[in-house]
Amino acid sequence: MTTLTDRYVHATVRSVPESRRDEIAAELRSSIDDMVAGRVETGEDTESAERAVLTDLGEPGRLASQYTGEKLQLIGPRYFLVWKRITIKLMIWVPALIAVVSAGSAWINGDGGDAIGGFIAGLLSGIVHVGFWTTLAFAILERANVDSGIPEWTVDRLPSVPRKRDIPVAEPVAAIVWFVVVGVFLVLATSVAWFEVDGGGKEVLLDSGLWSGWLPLILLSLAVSIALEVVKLVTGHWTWALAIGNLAASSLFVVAAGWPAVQRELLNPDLVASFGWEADAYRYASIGITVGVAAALLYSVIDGFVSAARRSRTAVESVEPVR
Amino acid sequence: MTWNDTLPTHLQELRRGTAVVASLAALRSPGHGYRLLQTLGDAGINVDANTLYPLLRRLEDQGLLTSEWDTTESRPRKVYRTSADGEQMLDALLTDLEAVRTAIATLTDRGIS
Repeated sequence: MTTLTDRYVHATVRSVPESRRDEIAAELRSSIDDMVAGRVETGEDTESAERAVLTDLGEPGRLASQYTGEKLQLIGPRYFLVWKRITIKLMIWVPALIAVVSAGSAWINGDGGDAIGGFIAGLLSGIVHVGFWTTLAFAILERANVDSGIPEWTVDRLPSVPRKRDIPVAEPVAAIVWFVVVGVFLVLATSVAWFEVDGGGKEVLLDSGLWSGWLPLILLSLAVSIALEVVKLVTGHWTWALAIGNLAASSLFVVAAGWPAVQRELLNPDLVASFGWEADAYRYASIGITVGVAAALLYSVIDGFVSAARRSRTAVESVEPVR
Repeated sequence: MTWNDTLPTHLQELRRGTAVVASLAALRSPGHGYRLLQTLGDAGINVDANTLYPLLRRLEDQGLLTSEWDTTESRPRKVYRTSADGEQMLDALLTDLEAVRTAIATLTDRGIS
């Protein structure tokens, strides 16, 4: 009959090198027997003494690792920081690259839906691959007792201290992209005819007459907005001047785009005629969209003033001595 | 973190390494593993069995202990003894321990000079 001790010793030596198994098994068994005997002498019965001793010794795998010096962590402190740095670096661009490539090949072989599916599948498999292979490589490095050749840390590798910014970089960048898209759309929508109408032929979406009226003003407001966003990107802070400039540019946009919209002069009249809309519905839709755009811009204007106010307040506080 | 939480951690840090010194010192008179465990415990050095047995194995591999199987009693036991190399190692460790003790004593008396 195998005893608990037999099973414990077996479980322990199973994960030590074969050449040492018998030796360690004999040692361990004799030590366990001594400890059990010691407990029995104090009046404990053999069975519960055996259980207590083995419980104290703990999980066999852990004990075996003490004998062999096997590492109980996948990646230890020596390589953890390098592993983390490399994993983050790779995670930033490798999955995106694989996603774009697989979306591209799916697009060529199929349609837009396939491309989206290919993008998501590529992204996920990229994340899994980067995570798995870097971790595997470092886990092996951790166990192989070799010089990894990873350069030692030096003071020259210290990063420069980032300037304190209230506005995250992504915010002005996204805004600039958006303004450029809107501007390009407006120019194309007033000049290129791609809207098919019932009678055959194509029409432009917006009234090309805008070129001699409101459109230059709209484009001017977008240009000013882009300039303001560039200032935000560089300085990283809202200021009163920026907030006022934002108010001016937003007001100009709302007037220059909203007025013709409300007057129903924005869309190409020939195109509208081909739709056969009811006059009231068209007017209310125009007003609704104008109000919506104005509200969104109002929010951004208020945000600008609130942020500028907060900044000027903290700037004052930081000068005053702490009481 | 309360005092009661941090104390065991600091004590563990402080005691790390003393098991080696204590074992090398105690095994100048030969003994088997379980007896060493008891001797150390009686002397106030509490080492877990699952730390001590692998430690003896390592010290033997490093040549600091020698061992032989004692088969005179009913059960065979492995008896360890501090080797000549072990004695040298013990001397070096005790010298350092003494240096640490002196340094701490000086700092306790004087504080930052």
